[in-house]
Amino acid sequence: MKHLIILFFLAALTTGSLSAQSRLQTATNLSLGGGGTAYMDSYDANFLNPANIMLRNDRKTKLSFGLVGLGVSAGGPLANIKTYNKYLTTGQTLTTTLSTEMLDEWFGKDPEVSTSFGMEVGILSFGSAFQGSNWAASLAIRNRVLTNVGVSRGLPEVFFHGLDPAVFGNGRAVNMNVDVLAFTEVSLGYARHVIDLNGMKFYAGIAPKILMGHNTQRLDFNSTITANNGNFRHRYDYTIQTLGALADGLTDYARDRDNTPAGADKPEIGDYIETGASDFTGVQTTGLGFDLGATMIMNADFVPIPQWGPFKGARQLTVGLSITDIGKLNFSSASQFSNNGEVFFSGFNYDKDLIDAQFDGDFGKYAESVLKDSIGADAYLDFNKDGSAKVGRALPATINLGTHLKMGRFGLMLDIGKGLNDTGINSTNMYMALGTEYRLFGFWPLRMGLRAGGYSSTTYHFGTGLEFRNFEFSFGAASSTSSEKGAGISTAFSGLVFHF
Amino acid sequence: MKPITKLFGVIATVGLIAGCEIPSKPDFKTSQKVDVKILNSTEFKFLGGKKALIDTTKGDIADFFSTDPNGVVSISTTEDFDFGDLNDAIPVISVAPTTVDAEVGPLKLNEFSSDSGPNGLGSANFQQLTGLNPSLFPAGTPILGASSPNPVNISLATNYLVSATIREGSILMTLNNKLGFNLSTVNMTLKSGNNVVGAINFTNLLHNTQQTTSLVIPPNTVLQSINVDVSIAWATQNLQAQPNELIVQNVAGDGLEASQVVAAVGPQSFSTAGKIVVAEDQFLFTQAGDYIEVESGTLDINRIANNMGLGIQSFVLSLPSIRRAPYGVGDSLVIRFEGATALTAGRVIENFLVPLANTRIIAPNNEVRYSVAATTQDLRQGDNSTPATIRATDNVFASVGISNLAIRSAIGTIVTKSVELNEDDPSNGTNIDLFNDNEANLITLDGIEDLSDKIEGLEFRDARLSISYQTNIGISAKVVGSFVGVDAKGQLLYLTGKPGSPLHVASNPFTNFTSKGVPINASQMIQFQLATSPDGSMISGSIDFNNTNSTIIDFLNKLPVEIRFIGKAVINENNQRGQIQSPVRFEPKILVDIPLSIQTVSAAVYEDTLDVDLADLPGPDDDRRLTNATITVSYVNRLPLEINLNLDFLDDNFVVLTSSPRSGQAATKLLASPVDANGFVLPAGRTGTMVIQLDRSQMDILNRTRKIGLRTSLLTTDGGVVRIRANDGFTMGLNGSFSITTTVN
Repeated sequence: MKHLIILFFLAALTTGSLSAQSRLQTATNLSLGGGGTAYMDSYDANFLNPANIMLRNDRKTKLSFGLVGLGVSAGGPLANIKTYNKYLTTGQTLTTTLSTEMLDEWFGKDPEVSTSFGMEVGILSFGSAFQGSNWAASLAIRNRVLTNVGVSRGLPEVFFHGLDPAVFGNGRAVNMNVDVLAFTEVSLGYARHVIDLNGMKFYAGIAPKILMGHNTQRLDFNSTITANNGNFRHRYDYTIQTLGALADGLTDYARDRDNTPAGADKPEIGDYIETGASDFTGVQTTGLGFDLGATMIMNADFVPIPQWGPFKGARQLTVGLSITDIGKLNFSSASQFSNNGEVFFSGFNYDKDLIDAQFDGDFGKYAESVLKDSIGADAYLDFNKDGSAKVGRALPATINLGTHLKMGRFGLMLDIGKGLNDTGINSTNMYMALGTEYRLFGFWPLRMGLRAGGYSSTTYHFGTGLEFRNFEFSFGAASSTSSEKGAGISTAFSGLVFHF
Repeated sequence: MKPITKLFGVIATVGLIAGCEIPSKPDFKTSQKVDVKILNSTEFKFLGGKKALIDTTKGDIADFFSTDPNGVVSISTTEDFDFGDLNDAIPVISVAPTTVDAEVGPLKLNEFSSDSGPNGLGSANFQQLTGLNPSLFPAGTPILGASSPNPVNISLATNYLVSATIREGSILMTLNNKLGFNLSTVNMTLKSGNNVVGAINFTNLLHNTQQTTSLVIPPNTVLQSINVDVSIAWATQNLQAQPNELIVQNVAGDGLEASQVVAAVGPQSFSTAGKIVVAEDQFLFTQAGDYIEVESGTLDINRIANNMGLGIQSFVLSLPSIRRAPYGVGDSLVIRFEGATALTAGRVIENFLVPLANTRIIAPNNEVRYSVAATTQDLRQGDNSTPATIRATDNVFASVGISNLAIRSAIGTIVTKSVELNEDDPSNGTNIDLFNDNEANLITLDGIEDLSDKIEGLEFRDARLSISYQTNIGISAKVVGSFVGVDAKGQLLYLTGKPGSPLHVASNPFTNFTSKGVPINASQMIQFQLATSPDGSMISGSIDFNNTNSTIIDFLNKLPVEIRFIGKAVINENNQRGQIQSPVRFEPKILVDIPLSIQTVSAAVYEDTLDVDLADLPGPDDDRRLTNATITVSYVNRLPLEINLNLDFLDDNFVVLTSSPRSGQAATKLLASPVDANGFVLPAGRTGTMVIQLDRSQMDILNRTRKIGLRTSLLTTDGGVVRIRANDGFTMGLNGSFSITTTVN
């Protein structure tokens, strides 16, 4: 076991492919690197490992409830703070060579590959758990917004190089995707003591949950820009999946655009884009999901650390295994808009008749119109509504294995896991979360951790709080020190948590 | 836990946080490059529709440019000069009023009495004349020869004559013998009252016969209450009838004229004749057929007065020099005062006007002849006659003239005169100023204003100006005046005739011509002769101002945007006979024709200042800066012009911020198309590129630019004469290459 733990630890530190996942971020587990499969208890366990509802972590109380816990995580390769600081904060002029060097570091050399940035906001608005002697149950309600933005190298190249033929002469992919999913989970967890075996206690738990989908937006924009010999060519293909006010606005815009009389100004799309709070509060669809897990607790006196100082006290090893966020939301009321085409600009055509007739002889107005309408409304904004679409959004499912070695007031936690899809900040790459905790005076926890892999570079975590017998309030934060693989930043507040 | 352990934990925690990566404030500059076609290759024809250098669909431009069969473009325009008519050329005939004084003259006395019947004017009986008792001498009774013992006075009943002062003539005395026997003599003494006027004798006055004898009345004899003393002598004889009377049967004048009478005279006819003089200052009737046909005007009898004591039953004024159509001798103007209009005694008629419209005045030697024939009323009304006092000097007085004479036509000799072709604005006295818009004739050539303002040095080889006109003037007329062209910069150039040409003005005959208040001299004038209509009908004529006879090339090379003219028509400079009729029409049109057949001996300069506000461009302090801009013009020039382009970027105060190209840099040049022997461009034109480059330091100040000064020098192909056709032009495309630096901090 000892060797196994060391092996995991070393692997996590040496590979960027290990990754944190889209998991519940509480003040506690965020401080400890984002794991928690083997130590997060009470109603939080619904979303990390439902078997842990049975865990008490030295508490004498049986009933817990909490309000308004908040966790925010963001990061990804796109948030490459190191490269950003290296190139974009020193006042230097980014020549073509320097820009290329920077973008090589930031986006890699493959222009077809998109670099992403994700963010998850979760609010655990209510949670309650009751623990019996052999079973435990909990109820938790969590609101989640998952966002993922992906950009190919070509987009920043337009900004840093302009339409330099040296860059775009042979065509360059300029891609972007945006994915937003907002939903609420109402999770009901149940766990029980399954068996005692050779001094090891096994618990199992499951937390089915009702999923209420509020909104989903997805933009998938793929294009190629070619600029050479003074010509500009942009082939593009994009799809927008949306619903709510945005879908209505785009539908209205397409209608009005198509009904615009010849020669009249095309409508401004900005006049049609409206979003309201109702887009993220109303329930557009419902679904079912679940989280499940198993936990084993055993005595850890075998750990070869002397009973000294901070490690003095009872020793216990907890191992947990969970599969979370199994489920899917199907938005049947979504609309899909798509467009593909090509903009080719090789100079303005000097159409004096047209300029006189429609622009009072003002070439400037004519040029503006060409750019705005002919290229804008008539090309990029010439999307069609494909009709209503049934859009499925899988939850950011993960599989996680975690351990928690408790030695008196000191704790050491290690999780590894892997995303089963790329929803939100989820990553199919493995991640590792390592954390330690020491509880000063028994109520003042000091927590540190690190997370490696996943959607960002290694992040370092810290948290503290006050955790009394009946009340606790804590927070945690994390950031990366080196963002070559993408910065990560997270923060979480426990909200108000009571134990009785 | 020991304190050292706790401290370790805190340090580790702080270190963890401090080691976290935090993004710094952005501070960098991008260097973007854009290489883009701005304008697709576009063909611009020189002249044509909207996509032409000169858009003939705009305003009245189309009227301004024309092409000849070879396609050569001309700037041409035809403008009317509105002179109205030249009726001032028609002579103004003035006729001084003439006094017509018609005296009655010597008065003719013919009849003395209204009744000369059986009883005559008076008589003496048998007894008075013989002293014998007639009862003793019945018929057949002998009477012894004897004579009257005493003259017997017989008063004469002359009710027509009260008195008369005889001027000359005789009186015829008629005796009727009713005495019953023959008289051998009758002695009769005529007396005026008691004054003896004269005596006459009748001989052998037989019984029952009458005998008339004449008595010459001495001049100045006053006859008044005339009577006669009569005595008779007879021979012995038998009475042939019962004795009766010797009757003065009649007394009548015989050529008897009086200078004054108080009498009931019969109609007195009198007449007079004279002439009305037509002034010779403007028109001369030099030949028999000369005349003036009157458009309007009146013969004015300003006052006609009968100054006599008796009426004039007929007063006839005849003017054989004034004739109505068909203008024969019998068509003379005759004015009669008769009947209701008769001049009764003492009558005065004021302002009696006789319209002369449509009459002709035929006045040889410039004299309008007239005659008056008048007859007084007949006072003899029998017993009801009322004698009147009449003097030979009694008259009818009239003042006769011709006024407001407007001439429709005239044949004769019009005295040389000058006629203003411009209206006179009294604000500058009698001067006619080229730059007084109320006086000068003005044509504007708005269509070339831009060209005129901005181009200088082009020489239009075949430019010409001509005046075509229509006129009906039948006499020699020469226009002498001043044409001044004003270009868009306000520069003046006068069109003058070249020395030796008929258009040359050697000396200025007019002192009232000014240009901006300064007298015009001969070197600023031009003249031309108008054609003469043979019969007064409208004819056409034209005058060409060309390079041979005038300074027209220099004049039009200035591309005047307005041409002003003042002038006079000198009528019948050589005093020749001719004809003229109203209205005298002179309807000129000015034709300006400037074929674009041009040559640049030295480079022509086209300058323009365009309002171009480049404030939106980034400046040196802006985050986004243009650091380099290169505009490449790819062209095919099918114009026979080489264009050297200089751009000055100016601020609001026209201060040059920078220029392109900079001093020492290669010229920004568009090469001229080659031409054929006729100066026409070759179809292939000239292909090339022209680069306009602005470096970073120039770009930094571009945003202060508010105007761009365009200085273009133009050279015709090889400096020769070239001709520009409507379909000439050029094709151009624009490529832009820009470097943009964006600062983010």
